[in-house]
Amino acid sequence: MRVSTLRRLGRVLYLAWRNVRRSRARLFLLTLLTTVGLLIFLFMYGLSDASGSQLETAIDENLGVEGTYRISVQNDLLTATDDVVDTVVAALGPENPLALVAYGQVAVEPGGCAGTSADGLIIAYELRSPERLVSQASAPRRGADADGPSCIAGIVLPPAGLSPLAPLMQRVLELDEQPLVVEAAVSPSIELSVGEPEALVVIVNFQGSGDRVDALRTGITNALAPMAARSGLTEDWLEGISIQRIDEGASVRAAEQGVKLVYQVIGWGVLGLGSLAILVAQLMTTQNRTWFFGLARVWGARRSDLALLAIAEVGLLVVLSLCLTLVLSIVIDPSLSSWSRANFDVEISLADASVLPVLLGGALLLAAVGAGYPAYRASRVDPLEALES
Amino acid sequence: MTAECAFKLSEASLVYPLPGGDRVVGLQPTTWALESGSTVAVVGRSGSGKSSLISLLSTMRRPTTGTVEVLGQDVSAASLRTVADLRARDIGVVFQSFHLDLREATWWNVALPWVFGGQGSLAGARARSMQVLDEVGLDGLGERRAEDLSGGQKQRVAIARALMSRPRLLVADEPTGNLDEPTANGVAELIYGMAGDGRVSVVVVTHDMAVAERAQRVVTLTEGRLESEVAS
Repeated sequence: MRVSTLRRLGRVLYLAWRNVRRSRARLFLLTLLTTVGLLIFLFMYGLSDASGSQLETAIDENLGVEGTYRISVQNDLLTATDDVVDTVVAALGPENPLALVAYGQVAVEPGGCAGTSADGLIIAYELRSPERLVSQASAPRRGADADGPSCIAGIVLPPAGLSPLAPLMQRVLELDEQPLVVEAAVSPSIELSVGEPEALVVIVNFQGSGDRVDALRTGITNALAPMAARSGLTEDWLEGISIQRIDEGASVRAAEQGVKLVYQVIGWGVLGLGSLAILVAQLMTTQNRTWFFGLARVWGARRSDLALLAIAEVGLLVVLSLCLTLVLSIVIDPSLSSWSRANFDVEISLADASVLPVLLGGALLLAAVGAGYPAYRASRVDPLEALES
Repeated sequence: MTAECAFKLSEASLVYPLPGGDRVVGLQPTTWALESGSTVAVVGRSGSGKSSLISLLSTMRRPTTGTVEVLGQDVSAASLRTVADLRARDIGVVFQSFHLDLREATWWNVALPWVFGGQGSLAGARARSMQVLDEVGLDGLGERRAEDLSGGQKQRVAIARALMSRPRLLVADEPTGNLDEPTANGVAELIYGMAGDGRVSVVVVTHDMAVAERAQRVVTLTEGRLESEVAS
């Protein structure tokens, strides 16, 4: 009567466990080595993520979000601004990116109004998609000047009509100082009062690294060409439409990817060294127990049983180390996070759930490299030669 | 005839290929059979083909020519798995070296073959190993580590291990080679005694004529050829 495969597997695992625990010093040293390797691997991955994230934020803040373009159009088309905005946004292409649209009467000087004090550039902005989903921005009012009525371009605005522009908008619109923003409700009144062509700026992000300036220019000038023709404007006007890519961090981003890669390579390298150590230890064990593999064949063991035995021994070691690594990473994590935050202004985390798949992948590498060749050697033992030696 | 034979060699030979195309003949074409439940000793000088014969009888090698039937199974043609199962179930092998895991308990050394083909649970295997240890005269030593046993006791453990699966064929290769004479006599008596109930057949390969003469028949091998077979 044959023993079922499952029962055979269970018995081989039991034998592996007895073999592994028999040499306690070897088990302790290899588990320690593997755990340290896995912890360094986790640390390097955490460092890679943390530094990468910090660099990305810094690049976005200082050099612009990747794939961002600034489209400037002077609206002297004798057409309602909303229509021009709709046309420009529709011309952005089939990807329908969310666009940030800013309106402004550039270089408008505030006129005097009795009893008021506010002055500055007049800007309103909104988020707009091609489906005309409008999300009106409403920065909180602040500052003494915004507490009372304001006078801009000779018009008295109530306190609710102005609010400070968000810092991000200030950057993308390339403004030196934080201006006040005219709320949409009062914006038409300002336009009527100023009587100057309104400038509109569309900031759009395509979330990609490819250059779209030419494609955008073609699309937008083609879309606005009929309006220009109706207004009697020449082609020179169309050439005046400004399209700039405003993310300047391409090379820095490449460097950032390089830094992340270096950290990860170091992590995998440490893991590779750990794998080699396990491989050497397991090969020595296989060599010392050649007689056992020979005897096992005499007892009816199949080659696959012996390969499985070698794999199971390394597998148990790696599982043990993996459990220890998880426990230690949870214990160490708070201290490491606060230490790295205090010293390097980055938060390195070892106990991040997102690292688990990488950790499991690393553990699999350890097991595969550490067990593969010894398993092959064990399965190829010639029983009679092994027992004669 | 086949059902009554422990093994049957029909013009079976064993040739080892060497690098460069040379060949070494381990066993010349041989025809020989052993009745079930009997004992036989194989004697011969070094290089006479004893190891080749053992490797065929223990089914660890297939014959280069001819056929080998062991316990009614033609191992020349059977699949590797079938032959491995036959070994696990019905064949016990004892070697000159004890090949024990010295840091393990004696009972575990005896129970090891159970891992690869024995029936029942671990507790059953443990009970069986204790029983076999009792049969070979090592009652009460099951929990002792193998390294704490004497040479004769270690060989008895090796014999107990070979008996773990209740084999019908016991093949012993120089089982007394590492033992002093009194101990060797005890071990030989134990091995041949296994055939007492007529269920187990015993083949012992030995240099020691004193050990050989305890078998029912003695076969002499010379240069890979079966020279003579005499009743002792």
